Amino acid sequence: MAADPAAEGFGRLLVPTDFSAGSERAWAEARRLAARLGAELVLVHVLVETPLFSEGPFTMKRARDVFDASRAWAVKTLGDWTTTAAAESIPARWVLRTGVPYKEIVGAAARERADLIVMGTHGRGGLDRALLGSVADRVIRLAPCPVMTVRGTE
Amino acid sequence: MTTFRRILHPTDFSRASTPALRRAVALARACRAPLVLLHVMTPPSPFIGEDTLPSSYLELLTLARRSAKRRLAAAVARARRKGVRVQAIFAEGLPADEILRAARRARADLIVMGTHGRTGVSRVFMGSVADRVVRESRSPVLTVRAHGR
Repeated sequence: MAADPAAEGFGRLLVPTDFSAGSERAWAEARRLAARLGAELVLVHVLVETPLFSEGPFTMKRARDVFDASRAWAVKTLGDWTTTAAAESIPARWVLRTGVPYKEIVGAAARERADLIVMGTHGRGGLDRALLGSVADRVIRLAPCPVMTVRGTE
Repeated sequence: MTTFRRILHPTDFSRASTPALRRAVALARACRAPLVLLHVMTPPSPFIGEDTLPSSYLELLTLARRSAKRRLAAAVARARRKGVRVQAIFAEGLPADEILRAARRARADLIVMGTHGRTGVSRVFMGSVADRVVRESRSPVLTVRAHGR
């Protein structure tokens, strides 16, 4: 039995994902919470268009092709993830942005009027296992709403 | 569907932790989970000079302890009036250590805590407790900024 989301102040949960195992755990946690709170889920992925090696007038098309392929894959994966929530009768949709992950996540939280961000402490930038992921760290400091961090299994 | 079974909220009784307390109460209610209120008192280092006798330090400590426990009891009573089951834990030591320890011992599966959310030099001091808890906690940690919504 879901509580009244308006009364509890958690109507919309924003879940940033980089499709890592850590984000998958956060997505599962967010689904459980949304089901309990009667909240809506907004999944957000940020595409990073890293300048590709020897990107220039002659290879621009190739670079474009790589970005297009990663965008197509992201769109498909976002759709798949959203379906898992829909199958559990949780209203969910996705947003795809391009840019610097932490900035886009904070921006999306403001634009979507998210009441809560649920995210993994570590994403794909896996070099700093001992440290808090830099994206999560910045989002905690800058988000317009509370942030729930979910640690990945080790 | 089960969600959180026990929610820990560390409080320093400051206004900075009020938004976090509000969220903790809301989630405890929604999940029908008991709320564990934790206060960590950090004893002042016993500076003993010529003019400071050990007995006055101990006196100070006793007073501080009594006052902190009284405030914790008041916080518990306030949370109970919101219709939540509340437990209190009083601990002494370094806040981050005690928060992580209390979470383990109380089997809390969510920690809801305030953060000052400052940047720059002051955040090194002000936000360091939340920083460590977020990094080291096995359970999810919900951080609520002091001056956020």
